[in-house]
Amino acid sequence: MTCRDARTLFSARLDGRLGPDEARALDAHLAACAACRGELARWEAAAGALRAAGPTPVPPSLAERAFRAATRAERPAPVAGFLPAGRKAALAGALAAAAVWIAALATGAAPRPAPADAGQDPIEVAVLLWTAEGER
Amino acid sequence: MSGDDAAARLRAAADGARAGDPQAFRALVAETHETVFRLAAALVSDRDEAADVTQETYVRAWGRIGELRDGAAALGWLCRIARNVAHDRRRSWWSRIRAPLDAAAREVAPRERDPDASLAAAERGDAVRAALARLPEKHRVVLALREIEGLSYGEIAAALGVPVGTVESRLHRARAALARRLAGLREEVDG
Repeated sequence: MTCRDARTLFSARLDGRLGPDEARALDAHLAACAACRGELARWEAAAGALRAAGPTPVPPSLAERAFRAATRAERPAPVAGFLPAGRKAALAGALAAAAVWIAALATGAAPRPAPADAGQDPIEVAVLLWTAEGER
Repeated sequence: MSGDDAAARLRAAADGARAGDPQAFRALVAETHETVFRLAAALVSDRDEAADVTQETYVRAWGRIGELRDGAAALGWLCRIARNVAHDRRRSWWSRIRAPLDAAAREVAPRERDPDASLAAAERGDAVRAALARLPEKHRVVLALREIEGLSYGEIAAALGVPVGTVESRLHRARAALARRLAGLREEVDG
């Protein structure tokens, strides 16, 4: 076994994944090669230093916190491009309101300023149309 | 509890969640959150940030649970979302501000009073972790998942969405690169 061959086995050696034949061949090489013994010692020291601190502790309440955060958020409709019923009704109302505005402007009888009522504001119409387009 | 039992439990939870059952989703979170958190910890190198990434992963997952086609693939699917969340957050303004602040906080944090031997070991650990942080991400993450978080090859493969053979080869290259960096540090100190 050459030094190059021996070093390709170091990683598997650290994880105990060598077969018996490979392990014997590597041990025989290491017994005769100080350079490879030194190199393997460096690999083991680095692994030991990384393992020394142990795994990052999982925050005890993380699972419950993640579950609550996830299920608090609104779940979108599963089928892309298909508006939920509530959004459809709002869009229909907004389109009707926009039609009234357009008709009034065309006839010169502009309606009085709209009250702050979502669904009757042309800006709301634009937002709803834009949102609907983005979901397709 | 055998691995088969765990896999069956995970699949049942994922299938229930896909059907829109919140309690099944709760079970899915319970079954998977440790692996997702460990992946996040390897990606962002900060415990609080890793917890945030984990939480955001499940928010996104529940929002698009219909995209999970196969309950058996739930862990890999969740880990893919976690990788995307971590990358998105790294690009965010908060991460760009927070990383230097965290580094500065570590600089000024008082070290515990240790006997000389423990201090030397702590400094050696710091040097190894610093060398790890300078490795390319695909090497750093696989090494952190294996050595720090203690995941098996199969768990790492699922977390990263790669075959076990790729985990083996990346681990080998990562360890070789880490050993080279540490040898370089030693030469700087000795030289």
